[in-house]
Amino acid sequence: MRQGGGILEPNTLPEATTLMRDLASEGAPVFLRGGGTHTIGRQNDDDVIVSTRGLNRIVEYAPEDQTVTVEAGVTIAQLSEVLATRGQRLVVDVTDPQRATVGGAIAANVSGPRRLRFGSLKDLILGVSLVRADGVAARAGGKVVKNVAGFDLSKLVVGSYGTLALVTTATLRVHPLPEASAALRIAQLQPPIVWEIVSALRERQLEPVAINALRGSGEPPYYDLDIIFEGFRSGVEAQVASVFALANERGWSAAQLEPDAAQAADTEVRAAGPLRVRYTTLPSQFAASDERAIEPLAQTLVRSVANAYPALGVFTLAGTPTPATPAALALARERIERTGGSLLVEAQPAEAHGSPAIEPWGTPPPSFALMQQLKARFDPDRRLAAGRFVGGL
Amino acid sequence: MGTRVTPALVVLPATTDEVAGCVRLARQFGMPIVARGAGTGLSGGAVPSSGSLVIGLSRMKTILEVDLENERIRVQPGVVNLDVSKRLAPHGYYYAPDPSSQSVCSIGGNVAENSGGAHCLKYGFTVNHAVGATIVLADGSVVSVGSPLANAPGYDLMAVVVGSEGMLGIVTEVWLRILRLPQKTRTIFATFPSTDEAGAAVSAVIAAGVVPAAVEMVDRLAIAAIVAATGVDWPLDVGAALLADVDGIAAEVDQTADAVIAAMHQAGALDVRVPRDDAERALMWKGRKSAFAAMGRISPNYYVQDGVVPRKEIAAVLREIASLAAGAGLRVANVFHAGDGNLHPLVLYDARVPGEEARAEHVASEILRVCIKYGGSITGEHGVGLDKAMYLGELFNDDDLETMNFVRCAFDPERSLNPGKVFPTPRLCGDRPGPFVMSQLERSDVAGRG
Repeated sequence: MRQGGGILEPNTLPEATTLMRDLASEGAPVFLRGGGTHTIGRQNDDDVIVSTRGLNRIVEYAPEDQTVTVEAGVTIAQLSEVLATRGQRLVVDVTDPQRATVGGAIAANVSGPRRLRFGSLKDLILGVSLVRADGVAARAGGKVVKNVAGFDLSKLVVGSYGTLALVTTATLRVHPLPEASAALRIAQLQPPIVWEIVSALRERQLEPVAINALRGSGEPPYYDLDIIFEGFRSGVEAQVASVFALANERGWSAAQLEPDAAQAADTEVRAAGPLRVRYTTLPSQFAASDERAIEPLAQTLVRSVANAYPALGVFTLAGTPTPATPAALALARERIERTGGSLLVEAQPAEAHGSPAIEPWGTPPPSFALMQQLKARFDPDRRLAAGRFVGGL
Repeated sequence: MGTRVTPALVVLPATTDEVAGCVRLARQFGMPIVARGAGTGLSGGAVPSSGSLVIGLSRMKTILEVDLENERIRVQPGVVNLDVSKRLAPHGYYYAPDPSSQSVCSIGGNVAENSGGAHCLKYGFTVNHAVGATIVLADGSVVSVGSPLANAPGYDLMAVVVGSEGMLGIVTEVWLRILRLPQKTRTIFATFPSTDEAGAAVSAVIAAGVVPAAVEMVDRLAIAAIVAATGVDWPLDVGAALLADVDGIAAEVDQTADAVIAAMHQAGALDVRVPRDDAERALMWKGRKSAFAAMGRISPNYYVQDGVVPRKEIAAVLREIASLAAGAGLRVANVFHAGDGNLHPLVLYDARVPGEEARAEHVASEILRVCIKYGGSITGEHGVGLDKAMYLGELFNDDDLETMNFVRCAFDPERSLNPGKVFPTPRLCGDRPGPFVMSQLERSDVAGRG
């Protein structure tokens, strides 16, 4: 166990269990942390921070079964390196793979543009071991790709932000590395045309692994749409040809670009400023969301950048807030929530112009009472990240 | 095996409100509640408890909303699985999970069991497609869980409702994700001297970097039954056969199908063939999907098992199963989802022969222990239900089960929904701190614990 700067860092699974048990007997409030890339909300002053970075072993890798079991503190970069030796990968897009850990990605349900084809971590996780708030170790799910034995807690902890239990190991489904990849950009599009293109790709039964739309700050706003294909060479080439044919037919200007360039958008958003907001809407509301919820908030930000996954209905907007920002954000949230969507404040400045911090999560969902019950069963003394999740869970 | 329990009452509500009303009444009279879909489950998950109210959902079979733009569909629980895809077919869409019983099983039951099917190798299980639901809780309240949108605030309750075997709530509406039909599908059928070569072929396909839509295996005995029942012209003198689908972008499918065919030859296939046309393709799949029913041609009774093992262990596990069966003087036919290691050994027996049923049951349970030994699971898609509750404790320890029970207690602290299923030993929902308070159901001796 390492200890420094108020952070406890167990190095083995038994150490992690002992630590959680000791903290439970002391009644200490605990804040669980992976790479620290997706922390939402503030830590309480008396929180003991438990870092998973010392739990960094690959427990079992079965390439024939396309599964891997890792400790929570393994970084995405570390895991990718090991998987690549056998021609495989974990399909989760993170912006900082050197820091982001598997456990943290699970806790925050981190996903990127490839979610379109491969799903989120909820779709890739097969099993977990946990240490509960009371220091008891438990397991759920399994190590095989198909399993319905018992309640699958592994999917429940995805996106639970460390409020239910400490995830110590996870078994994940991995995929083959693609033989080929290609990206195309269709530039300078009005928002309704972005949706028209998404619909046209579906109509032609194309299977992009990702569709990314980086929003420019022109007047009126426009998007540069990147379409990424991966797979066997024959399929990738056929799809690229199909998009060029479609673009010719409809008068869009398409150009091929390096796949890496197409994936830079999320990094650009994260570097844009201290406020970062994620909108989730119905995909078909792309243009309406842009006009009614993105644009009014973007107008209040200094140097704003936005990126969307139009086929998933997800936008991320970032920039430096001004005094007009909190009111614009509240309005955008109201509009998004009214259509059934949600707005998550992923990052915000420590003090937004002296005003109170913006509530990150928005209105609790209709099933909130059940979520409270669940929290009460897993963490009856409310010691794990108390008050920092949706509705003060 | 052949469990029959007569419930106190059966109701067939038609709306969410009626389901909620029935639940409130059952609660008032202290009756346990068992929700039931089409009753095609293979683990006894919908078998009534003694003195229970059975809520049958077969009248709730309306497709409520088709939203192609957002690639989703909202259905009632009694809608038959295949009817979803039939409704979507004219628009070029389909619903991916395809249990072999898909022409009769219903979406509500699929949600309860987290049903799979042949094509979940590539496309995932019900949990990956059923993303939101309206559920009636044990106290009669109605709540929506999950979301048809990509992200929603809070815990993903839908992820535990799916596969909870009717113990968390009664699903009365479900949002399903739907998929665009692929440009092309190619089917490949290959025969092998034994299940060893067939198992090696599955590994070779995966090693080639191909994720087939489905890879199914049938062994010699299963082929005999299928040929007798359906008239497919599969050879009878082979040890095993594989039926695989690859789908996707047309140009890619030609490449991946060739890779699959090459892998099968390399692994020692006796013969590889592709269907001449869609009719022959449909017949091949009909053969596979009617396999369980076909067993009647070769045995008066059979016991289906549903274990899972790591894909690379398939051949070794099949040999162990064969030796278990031989030791008991019984035959086992195998027809299963080889691509994801989900075995369906069918232990054949004749219930008229004294002792045979007990021997079959013993073999079936030993098969599960073999699956556990190889690092697998006791159920891949049929659920734990009543049948396998006693084995869950061999896969998970008390702490694991207690943690799973937290979820049940959060949803149904009186444990009145589908009591006696899944959990092997009594599990309480005591309110911490302080002693456990016996529920009304237990005081009236209507429901036991577990």
